Amino acid sequence: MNKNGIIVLADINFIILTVLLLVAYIILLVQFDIANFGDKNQIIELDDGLKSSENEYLVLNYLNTEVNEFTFADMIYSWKNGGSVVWSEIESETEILFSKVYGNCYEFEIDGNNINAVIFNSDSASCIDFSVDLNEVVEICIDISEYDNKFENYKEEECFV
Amino acid sequence: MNKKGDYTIGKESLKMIVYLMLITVVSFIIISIFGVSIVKDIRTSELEQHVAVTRMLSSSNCLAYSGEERVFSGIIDLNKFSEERVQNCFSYKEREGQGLLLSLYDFNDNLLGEVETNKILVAQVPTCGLDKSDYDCYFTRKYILYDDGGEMKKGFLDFTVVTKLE
Repeated sequence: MNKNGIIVLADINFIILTVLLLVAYIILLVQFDIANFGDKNQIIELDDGLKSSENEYLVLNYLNTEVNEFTFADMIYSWKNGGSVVWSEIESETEILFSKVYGNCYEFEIDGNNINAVIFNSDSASCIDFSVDLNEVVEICIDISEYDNKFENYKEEECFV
Repeated sequence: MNKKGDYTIGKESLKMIVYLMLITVVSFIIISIFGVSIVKDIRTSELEQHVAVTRMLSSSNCLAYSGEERVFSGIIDLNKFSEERVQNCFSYKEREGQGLLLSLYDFNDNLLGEVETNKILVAQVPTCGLDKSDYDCYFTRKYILYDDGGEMKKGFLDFTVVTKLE
């Protein structure tokens, strides 16, 4: 500070401007970080939900498929309501059906019972709720992502080895 | 404040203008630098591909079998399996940006028919796997039932959907 106070005035202006500049810079940086714009060539892909609905039609077709004059829907209904159909029958008929189309590259689950799967991979599965009673629904899920991946790379034959 | 002081404030005001210009320039530089590094590529190609497959299976205007009162989504009407039908199922914009190859098989793996739309795009399938390809492909096989003259038969439908990346 000098006697005239000139430097003080200049210092205050400088400090104010510096602070404003810093604040603006920090705001920009925070926005940059929050918006996650830091990655170069960031690609946002939109897909999944509809893939799931595609395969729901597949499960619907399965339920409407006839086996010995009964549909799979009838068989599951009978099994869950104490009828003559037992689980092993549904399991074997389902395996015959899907192994013909997807080889061993599919996973299927009915009400927690796995077919062609040790542990059902629910991450990429498509499921529907099938009503077997007024108060009870069973969840039927299918996952054909393994087949689709091989199909994409022209390696679907590997599913039928 | 004396005359010298007035002069000093005037001088500071001039400096303020210079500072403001400096801030503006710096701000533009910062925004430009960030702008260069921000490459937002929102890919909707997969979404469009799934829309195409879902529409084929579920819409009576496409391939879905329809009775007198309802549409049987997922069940294919063999009479609807034609190039004209599939093409009309898409809007003009979709037809231009998307290629579709459908192969229908019976349960014994016999090819019942093939339908292809936008053949130029479908011809790009071999380039889909390349790193810098301009095309994105989606392949899937769906177990289906198809109506053949009133009789419901088992089969499967292979979809190849090719989309040009924007």
